Parts: sequence; C-alpha cells; structure tokens
Amino acid sequence: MDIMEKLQDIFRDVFDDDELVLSNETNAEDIEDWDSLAQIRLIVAIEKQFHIKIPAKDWQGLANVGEMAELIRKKINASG
Amino acid sequence: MKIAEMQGLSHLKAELLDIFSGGGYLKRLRSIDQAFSNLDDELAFIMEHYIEAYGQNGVSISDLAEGYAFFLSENDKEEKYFFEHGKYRYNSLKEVSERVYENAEYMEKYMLGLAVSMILWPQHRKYFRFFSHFIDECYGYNGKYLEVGAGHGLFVSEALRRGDFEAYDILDISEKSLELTKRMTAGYATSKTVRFIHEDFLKYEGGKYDVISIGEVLEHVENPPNFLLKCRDILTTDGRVYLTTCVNAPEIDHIYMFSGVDEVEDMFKTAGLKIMEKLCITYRDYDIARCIRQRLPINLAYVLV
Repeated sequence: MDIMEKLQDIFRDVFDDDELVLSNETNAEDIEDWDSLAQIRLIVAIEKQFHIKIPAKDWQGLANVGEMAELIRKKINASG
Repeated sequence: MKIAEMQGLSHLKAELLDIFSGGGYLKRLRSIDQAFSNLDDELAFIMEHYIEAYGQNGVSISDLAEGYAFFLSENDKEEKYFFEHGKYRYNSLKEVSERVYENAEYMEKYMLGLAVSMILWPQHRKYFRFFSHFIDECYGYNGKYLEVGAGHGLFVSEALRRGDFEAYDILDISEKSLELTKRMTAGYATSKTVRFIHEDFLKYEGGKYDVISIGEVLEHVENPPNFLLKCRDILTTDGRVYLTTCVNAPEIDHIYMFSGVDEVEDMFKTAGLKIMEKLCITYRDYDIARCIRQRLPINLAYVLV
C-alpha cells in the first residue's frame, strides 16, 4: 500500500468518513472538519503509521496532501 | 454598539489576526474572524468591559493576545500527548503545582489566554451564558456565594455584576489566580462584601454556602468524589451548585481524566447531589458516542442541588 493509500485510510478514520477520497491537491479548505484538533490527530496517526517523528514546524506551511505525502516520503527515506 | 466601535475588542481582534497571520494558520485566522463577527451584543459588551478592566489593572491587549497564542500552543502540545498516549500528561497535584500553579509567569499568560478563549471558543461562550443565566435565576436569593477556583476571574466578575449575594468568598489554590481575579473585580468588589482566600478547598473551613460555583475544577483534582462530598457538606439545605467539567479535554493542569459523561454523573449521585439543569457541548456537535470512540472533547455544565 503506498503512502497516499495509507493517508486516505487515516483521513477516513479521523474524519469518520468512509467515502472520503484524497488527491494531491486536497487541503484543509476542502474538508470542513479539518481544524487544528483534527490536524493534531492526523499528525499523531501519521507518525504512528509510518514510524516517523516530524517536528511541528515542518507541518506548518504544507499546502496540500501531496506535500504532506512528500514530507512523509522524505522522513521515511531519511530514517531508512 | 458594533464590535468595530468597541476599541478593546477591535484592537484585540487585530492583534490576534496579526499573531496568526503567518505559518499556515489560515483556518485559525478564519475562526478568529468569525468568532468576533458572531459575538452577540451582550457578550461583546461584557468582554469590552473586561478588556477595559484588565487595562486599568496593568494587563494590556498585547498581553491578552500573546496569552492566547501561548495558551493555544500549550494546548496543542497537550492534545498531541493525549492522542499519542491516551491519557493526560500529569496525574498529580504536586506535578501541576510545580509546573503551573507555583509558576507566576506561566499562570499569568495561561490565565489570560483562557480568558480570551471565552470570546473565541463556542463551548466557552455557551458555558458563560449558562452561568449568566444561573446567576440571574439566583437573583433575590440572598445568601453566601463561594467561588472555588477563580481562575481568570471572568466568572467571579459576572457573579459580582449580576448577582446580589450578601457575601462573596473567592477561593483558589493559586496566588496568581487570586491576584488576577482581584484586579479583574476591583470595580465591583468595592460595593460588595468580597474575600479572597488562598486555600485548598478540601482544607477550607468557611461554614455553609447558599451558592457554590465550581467551574472547570474537577478535572484539576486528584479526587473529584472528595470535592463533591465537600460541596454537599457545605451547601445549605436549599443551596445550589454551578459546576462545569470536561471529558477528553487535555490541558497542562488537567489531571483527572473522566471516561465519559456517565462517570461524572455517577459521582454526583454518590455524593448525594442531584442534577437540576444540564448543558452538554460536544466537539463540533458530534454525537457523544463518536466523541467517546474518537476521544474528542465533551464539555459539561450543571446546576446541582
């Protein structure tokens, strides 16, 4: 399962929506319930799923899910 | 008077928007903007007054805005810890006393941030209105009023402004909270009988009270049932308790983690306190089952007899 597929599972769980479909362009503006608490829940789930730790400052300024996936990929490669 | 004409609120809004204008806080910016836009007239008037009162007592609007940014930052850290570990970070009064209550600088910033959340957070606004209504219902019901855990002093100020009690005793385990509250209530306290008491509620011997306000306290103590028993013991026969608490709501000094609404209400029963009124506010109005399953915040307010 690739990173985007795993991210989609995480997003579906956090937002309790089995129909949710992510694209690289998806961002917080597209999901109404994606607020600061949801962001924290996403970060925790992502770090657990991918066995990585990402500093808070690296999450800020990500424009969309595509950039999120890219950040995750870099962290996995760096820790690999 | 519109918000734009209220200097304090307008200035606070501008400072908050400035603080959060960088660093990817677009939704936070929007929610701040919306919160000020849908502030009703009465709450706006009250908050404008409190901003003035703060200003007259050495707390600037910048202090309030920076306090809120600090409060959010600390909250974010505790939320992350909670979702990582499934529990609050601390579980003893000793730990949070050292970290928070005995740290004057931390307490001041944190309490000011909490005060600003009264304007911005929907659940805190609902609490405040529920409390205001409770005090109105008590009007003419003269007697002794006890506030346990004065915090930032906004609720005490509201009780002084709206209420008509023969005496007000304000109790807190934190000297900084009492100091902030004294400053906030200076304008009202002159015409009323008010005492500020630095004491642990469980050790406090002050006689009986007709109204006890114990807002956002139970989650801060190691043994909530003991607190409730003490409330019951010092309440007069026809007395009332205003009480708020929360489930799945990590903050730096929250040490008791309720498993759900049932645990809270079972404790009331065990303490011999009956629910007269109740307000349940779930995160984003999700149903309680989802909040429990996903460990999302539930805020609870009660009037108990």
